[in-house]
Amino acid sequence: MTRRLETVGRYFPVPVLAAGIVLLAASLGLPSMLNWLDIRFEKKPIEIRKTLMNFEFENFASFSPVPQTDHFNVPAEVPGIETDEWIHLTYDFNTAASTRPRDRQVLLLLSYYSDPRDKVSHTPEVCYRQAGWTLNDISAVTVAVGGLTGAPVIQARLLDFEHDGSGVVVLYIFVSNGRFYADRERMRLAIGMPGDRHVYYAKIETVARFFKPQDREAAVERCRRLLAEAIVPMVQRYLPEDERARDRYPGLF
Amino acid sequence: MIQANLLNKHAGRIVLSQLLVLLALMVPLFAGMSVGMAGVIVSDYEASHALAVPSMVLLLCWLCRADISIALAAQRGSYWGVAFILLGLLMYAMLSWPFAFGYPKRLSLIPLIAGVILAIGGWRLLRLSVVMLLLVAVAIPIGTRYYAFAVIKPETMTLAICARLLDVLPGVMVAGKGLDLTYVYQGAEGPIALGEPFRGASMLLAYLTLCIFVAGARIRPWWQLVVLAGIAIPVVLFCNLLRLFVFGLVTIYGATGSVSTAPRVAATIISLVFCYILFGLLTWSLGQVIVVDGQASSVEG
Repeated sequence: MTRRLETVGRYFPVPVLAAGIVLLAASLGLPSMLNWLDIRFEKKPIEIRKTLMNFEFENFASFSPVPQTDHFNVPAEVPGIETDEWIHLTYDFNTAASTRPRDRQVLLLLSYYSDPRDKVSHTPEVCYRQAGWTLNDISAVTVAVGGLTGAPVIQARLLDFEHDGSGVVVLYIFVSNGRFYADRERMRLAIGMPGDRHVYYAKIETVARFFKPQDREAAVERCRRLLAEAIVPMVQRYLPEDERARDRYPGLF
Repeated sequence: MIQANLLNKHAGRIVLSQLLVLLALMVPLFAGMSVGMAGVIVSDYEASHALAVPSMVLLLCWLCRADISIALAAQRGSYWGVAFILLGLLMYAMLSWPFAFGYPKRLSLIPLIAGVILAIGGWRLLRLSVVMLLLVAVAIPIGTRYYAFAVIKPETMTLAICARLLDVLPGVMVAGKGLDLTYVYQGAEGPIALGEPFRGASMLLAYLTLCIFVAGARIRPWWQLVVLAGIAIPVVLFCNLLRLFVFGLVTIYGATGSVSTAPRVAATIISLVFCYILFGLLTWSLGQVIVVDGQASSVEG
């Protein structure tokens, strides 16, 4: 017996044996355990409260809707949008200094997803480039959610593109299970967090064009203002109700 | 002296069987994933460098066989190997449930293999295996979206520089728009690298694989590996630029038409050979430098 153990010990020293036992146990048990967890804690989709098609009837303090335009040739991701709940609207910034429509308009793109197996929607920094847009910069800006007491200041992702001889700024955020995210991967992490039984996420995106470098700031401001104002009806009337979000952002959700 | 410290054949076989048994135990965890990865590697030329990685690893093992033998003879396995394996398993489990991240999950293979090596041969063997582990890591197909996001800046820069370089050629006009480059030459016009998914950042991992292989062909001190890692990045980016430039040259002057594969083949071969020679020369130059009293100095011969 001792000799046998010695032989085993020679062929499989203790660290190797320990590694083998751990790997064997993992190979036998881990896949089925993960499968069980996946089924046991499977997340369910949740319906949007009101279809985003109704968003065109929403009023904003600083913007008026304008008839559908060419959306500044925004690729708009429609072929790969992977949801039926989306809308693209164009607005006119009421207090813009310029009288030319191109210096006043902002595009609002909204989409809603609720399939737990979704890998999170396409993002403009990757997709718009494939439509001939040149991405010059990625940065972050803060957005104070419009006009509410104790409303949060959230971070949004700002993209600087060049397209058809003009500059384009794109500002977007994700809202998922009552939280705001500027980063797709962070939101994917959040979606996976155990605890929530349902899962949803929405993307709120604003796009504005500018033709002179000095007009960029005004374009960013238009995007920021529309994003700040659009968040309010979106979370209050469209996205699913969430008790915890209400505690987290009193007055907003 | 060295001969005396080499592992004998019998002991070598034991180590090999330990390695095979432990790797075989990982099969149920990675079987499905491996099939998926193999499909990508075979079908996507952006990942096809992975086909060369097994041969590269075996060749590096052969080149370093004396050092590996000495390491195995001198040191026994470490319990830290089990810790690495547990870390890899934790990564694998977390990235399966509750989170679902395909590429990072595939990367959990690396700490697991590192743990197996550590359990068998200890830290010295792991140190010798770092280059091989890097090759395996680079061979794991990266998700398209991760790659697309990671290459935004280098791709934009490469397209802009390449457009300018091609534009100065006699009789050629090249314009870039987003990811597209279009040329006009002798009345003919057309796109460059039509249909390439990442025309401004293609085969970066293939160049990197080549650099890792060249760097790992000899056992080097850590400082050299760090310097080479720093050098590899501009070399990879430059070879990528060269690839697109050659692609453009052959498309424009060869009048190959936008659907011909000739520009791609020419660009791929030229850039890979150039990458091998350039990085080989840089690595050789670095080999001529030794550290004396903490200062790097060049030596003759």
